[in-house]
Amino acid sequence: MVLLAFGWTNPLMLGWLAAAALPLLVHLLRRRRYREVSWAAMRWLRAAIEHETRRVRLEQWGLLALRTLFIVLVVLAAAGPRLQSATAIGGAGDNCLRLLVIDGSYSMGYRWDDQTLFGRAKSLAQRMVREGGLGDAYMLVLMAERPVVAVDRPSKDRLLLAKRIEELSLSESEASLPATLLKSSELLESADRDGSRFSRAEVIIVSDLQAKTWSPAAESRDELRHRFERLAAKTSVRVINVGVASAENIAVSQFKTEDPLTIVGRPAALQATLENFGSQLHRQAVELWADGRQVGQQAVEIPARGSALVEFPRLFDEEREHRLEIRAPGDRLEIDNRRFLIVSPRKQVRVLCVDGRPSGRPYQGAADYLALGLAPSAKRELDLLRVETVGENGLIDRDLRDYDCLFLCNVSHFTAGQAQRLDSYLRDGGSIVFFLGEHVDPERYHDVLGVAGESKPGPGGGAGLRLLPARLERLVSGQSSQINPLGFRHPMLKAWRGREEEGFAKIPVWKYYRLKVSEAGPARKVLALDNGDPLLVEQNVHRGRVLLVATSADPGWSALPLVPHFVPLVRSMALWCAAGAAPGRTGQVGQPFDVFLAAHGGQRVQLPDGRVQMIRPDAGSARIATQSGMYTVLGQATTGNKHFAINVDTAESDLAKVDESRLRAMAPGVAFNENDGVGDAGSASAALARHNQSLRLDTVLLFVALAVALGETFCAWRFGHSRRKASIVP
Amino acid sequence: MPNAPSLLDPQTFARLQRFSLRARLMVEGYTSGVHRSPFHGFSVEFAEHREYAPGDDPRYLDWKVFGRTDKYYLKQFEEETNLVCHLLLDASESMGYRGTVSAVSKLDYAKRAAAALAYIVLHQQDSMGLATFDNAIRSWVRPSGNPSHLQDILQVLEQTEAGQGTSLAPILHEAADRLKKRGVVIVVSDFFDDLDTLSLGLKHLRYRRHEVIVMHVLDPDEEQFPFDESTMFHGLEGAASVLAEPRAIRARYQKEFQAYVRALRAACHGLSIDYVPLRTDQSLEAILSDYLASRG
Repeated sequence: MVLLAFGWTNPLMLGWLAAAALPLLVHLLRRRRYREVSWAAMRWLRAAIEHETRRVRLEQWGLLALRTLFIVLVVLAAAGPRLQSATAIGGAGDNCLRLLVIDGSYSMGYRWDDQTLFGRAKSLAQRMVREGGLGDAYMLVLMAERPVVAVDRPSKDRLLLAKRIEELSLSESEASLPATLLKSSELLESADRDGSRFSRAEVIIVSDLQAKTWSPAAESRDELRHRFERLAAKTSVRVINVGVASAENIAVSQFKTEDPLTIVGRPAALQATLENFGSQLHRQAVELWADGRQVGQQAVEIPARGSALVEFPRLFDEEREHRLEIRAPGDRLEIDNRRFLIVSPRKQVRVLCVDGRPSGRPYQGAADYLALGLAPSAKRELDLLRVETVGENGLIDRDLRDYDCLFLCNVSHFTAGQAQRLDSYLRDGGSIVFFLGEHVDPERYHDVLGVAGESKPGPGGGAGLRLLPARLERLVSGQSSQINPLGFRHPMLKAWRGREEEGFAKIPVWKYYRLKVSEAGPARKVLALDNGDPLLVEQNVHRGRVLLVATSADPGWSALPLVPHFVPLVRSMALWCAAGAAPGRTGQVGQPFDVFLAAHGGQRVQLPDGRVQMIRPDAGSARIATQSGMYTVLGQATTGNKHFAINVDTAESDLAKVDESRLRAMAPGVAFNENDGVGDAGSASAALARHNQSLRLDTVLLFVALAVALGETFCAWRFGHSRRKASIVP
Repeated sequence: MPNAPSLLDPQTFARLQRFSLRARLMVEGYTSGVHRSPFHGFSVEFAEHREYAPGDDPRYLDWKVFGRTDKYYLKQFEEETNLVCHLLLDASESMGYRGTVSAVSKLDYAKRAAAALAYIVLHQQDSMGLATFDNAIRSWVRPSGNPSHLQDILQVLEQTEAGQGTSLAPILHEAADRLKKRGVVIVVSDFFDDLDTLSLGLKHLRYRRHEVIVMHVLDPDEEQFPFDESTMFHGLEGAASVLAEPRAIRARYQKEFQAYVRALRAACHGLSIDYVPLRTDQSLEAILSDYLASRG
């Protein structure tokens, strides 16, 4: 004897059975609406009514029954009645908890047959839920950089599950498989703690198996393996591949200005890098858009598994924000075909030189040579660099935010208050260049300003500042060293590349502080001495830069201020610093974008999709950019709008799939679909359906409903036709 | 020309002048006319002999018969007399019905038919009488051959309104009793009454040797029942209202109604009564001309 279990896929739909009363209501309402006629031949009318009443009533009730039955059948079909054999469900108590994990990394946006892989994954999940066993429950997780739990408790509500699956949206970032596995384990444990009783549990991961997501760095592999093992110990894990075997993709991986600072009236080179992640050479059209209109187009050939640089020269003639965009349309993954950039060209860079040893006589002060080198033109007001020289008091009585760059020359020490002001200045995007000298007190420098990479702050550095890129270890003098430009690798020294013969390396330095750069710190050497000691060290602090020169800015410690190279060097330093450490007003998906907003007060921000949100950076939680594109900070009428650009991380653009053997080694006990390609979705679902062995009755009901509808139409026609036919009897 | 613009216009009078209503049976008139009379007078057309009785006019003794038989016989001749036509007009409430396509109600149509017949009869110098009724006789105009009598008839017709329910059979019996002289009786009605009792009334008239003409006035809606939507039928003549789906019962209604009309026609035929259907959407002049022409 075969035991059968009956159930509904969408039991809430049964509420629509109330609609079955509609035909009856319509019938009753129609009876209340009639015309009125005075009539003489009542004898024959009554005779006809008496004779026909029974037949008419039978016809009307028959039609009414057919119409009601039609509605009932359609509602029942929508509710998804299912008949499942007991052998399939393994007995009355058999049920399965399925945790569906859908890969939401942006590589799943790859379009195939007019549908993205993500869309296919969702369709597959919908089908699994529809065709799953009657006692099965589901949870739902979107695999993303931070996994999104869409259904956190076992649910049998098919409508809710379908809605939640439909609401899942593709992220514009990569996905974290370890974090998702951890979250899945936690969810299953949580369901177990809540007392949910299921005969078995299953985790189904639907993904394109992109290598970036599924092949973590070597240091993470053990962790990933451990998490797979932890999950497989409690459940069976199945991975369904919806990816495409050999997917071609081109991405705009970089878009920047060649020079860190763009100057009004001077040609700027806009550089875009396009990467070909496919196995074929591609000839790609590249478009440049500025402020919403196309201003340039080029074609470029990108070799297989290679990249190409496209350069658009552009002259900016206004000192305002320019919204730039590079487009390389045409491939199947659209999200990485665009990249955005905000350029704010400058007319002038304001530099404040702080002289720690001011002198009334020409070129006797610590910053005199520097000020001349920064602005050597006779018409200083026309110079790009506008330089002011002040004493140490300037650190207190000047508003530092008015300046793009500070040059601190031979300043003996800093108070804690000054250090805090410098720190705030760096947070606002300003940059600082330290020139040393005889007045400098290294210990107080270390204590108050702090040294990068050192864990223990000095006695004065209670605030934990790390402004100095290197420790001033000791003063070195008595021996002359020459400058080692380190191959002019630093962008600041780009102008000297290929011109080494001009003698930059022969400049003597006879007195300097030996700088100790922490290996653990972010500082890097820009220039060194031939004995290996650092001469110029740089580190990014907050949104600004800090440069530390081991010698002085006057000719007392080196010949640098006296040689022609001094002028371009300090000007390059000033422009480099003025550009700031922050990459303009450009960020990346997944990063907080509060940095582009004013520090205090709420601001309305228009997102790339057109929605406007009120953002309060001081409200506590940082806002994470989840969309790429142009963001507009809506300002007041007087201040105008500001913009910032968010781009995707193109690491996800490489659609190469993870090596299968590596995957199996990393995830033992996990069932993978053997077949490759999008066809897998159907076969995987079909396998699940076979497993469930349930008989769906909705199709049968719909066919019956169709038959009823046809029957109703025929009966209505037949009854009406017979009356019409009879009515022409003379 | 009579002045009755609402019932008969001058054009209609002009067209009706060429028609005449001849009695098919013998009628008893008051004056000599073109219709055959049951009274054997002294005319040119020989009818029969009868034995002489004291008091007979000796001028009509047939001496040739006396010579052969030695008995006194009088010659009798056919006498032609004038026609006395009685028109019974149904003015019950059901006659007030006017359908969706007709321009006039059944009563208006019947009044025009009566006026036309009155004009024809009086124009041929015969006598015309009129009775209107619903459940009783409401007006009675004695027959007269005076041309000015048309005016009286038309005035009565003008004043006739739809009244109460029909009770046709008693009216016919009463008319049969009242009309002593044989003549032509024209009954204009929708005959919405019981057919058996109605037949008895007609038979009574025929028993009195009247020539009877039944003019059956119908509205086309009563034949076709052209309603589609749900309809509340408010019965005339006091019948209760009923709600019906006309489309569902149309065929049956038509069948019942046609059966009644056929039965009425058959009853008339059995009593040698002319049955003339009058449909209010059809030309009265055409119907009358066809009918009068068919009578010769």
